[in-house]
Amino acid sequence: MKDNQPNISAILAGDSREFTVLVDTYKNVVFTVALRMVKNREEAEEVAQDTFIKVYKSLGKFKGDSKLSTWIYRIAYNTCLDRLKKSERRRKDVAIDELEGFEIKDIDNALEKLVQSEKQEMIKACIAKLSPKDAALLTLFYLEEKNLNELGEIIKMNQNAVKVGLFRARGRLAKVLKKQLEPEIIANYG
Amino acid sequence: MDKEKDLEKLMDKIFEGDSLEVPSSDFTRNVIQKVEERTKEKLTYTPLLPKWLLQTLVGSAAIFVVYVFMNSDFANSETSYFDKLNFSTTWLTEGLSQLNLSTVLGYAILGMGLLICLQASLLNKFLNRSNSIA
Repeated sequence: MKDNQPNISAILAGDSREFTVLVDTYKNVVFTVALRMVKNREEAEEVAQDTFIKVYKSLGKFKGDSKLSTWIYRIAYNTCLDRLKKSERRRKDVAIDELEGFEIKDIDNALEKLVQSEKQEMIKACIAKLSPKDAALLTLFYLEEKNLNELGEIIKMNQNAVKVGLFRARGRLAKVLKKQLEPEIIANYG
Repeated sequence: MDKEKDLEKLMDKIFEGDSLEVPSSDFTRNVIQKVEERTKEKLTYTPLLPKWLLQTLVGSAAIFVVYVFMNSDFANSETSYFDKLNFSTTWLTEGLSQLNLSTVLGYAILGMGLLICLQASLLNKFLNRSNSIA
């Protein structure tokens, strides 16, 4: 996906074709993160567009200390938070009881029974129930394969806090999945 | 610890089948359009006074000057207009020679001048930067 790296100097010189390359390279990740954070397709599209406009405006300030992708995702994450703050929808993490080992196996077995498309729909629906921060962390870690250090730069947290945040986000996603998969889990026991 | 590893394995399996969402087909075009609109907005300077007002003012001034020259002694004079002009003792030069500034006031004016220069250069830098990232 990142073979066609945009030429930053050309963009700064006003080459809009190079900026098109940049948008095309990162639009899917930015849009996915936005959608999973704001939970609404139209709003996510607006937030993603705002993100790229901000990127264009401040590209001159990008010093290359981090990867361009990390810098762009950080802008996207902050733009989503601003949007959620404006609409006062900043959902807080709910306390979730710790999962037992057998429950993880139950979820795994129940997921095995689902057809791939059903599985994907189910996972998307469960991610939509997570808090914006959990959804962003999991999406960037698993889909974008960002490491703890890069995730820390994106959400402004230290590595340890990111590690704990990821662990909790995984636990919360598993709990939501378990609730969604309850009929299948019961059927498995039956 | 085993539980943690099981959870990680489960997550790996879950996200294996996960895929990125795709925005609308005209997403890139919309972004570029918005960026270009912003650039135009930033670079289009509108004059403080509307064009019609400027034209009226310049026209009135021209008519006034012509009227004054036609009705003054200049119009009937045989000598050149420039001969009539005498800059050696104007009210300004006379006024300036009588002006007495205290040292404090002198420094205050100098300080004010320096601050204006500093502000002008900062404003110039700011405008240059905001236009370059438009």
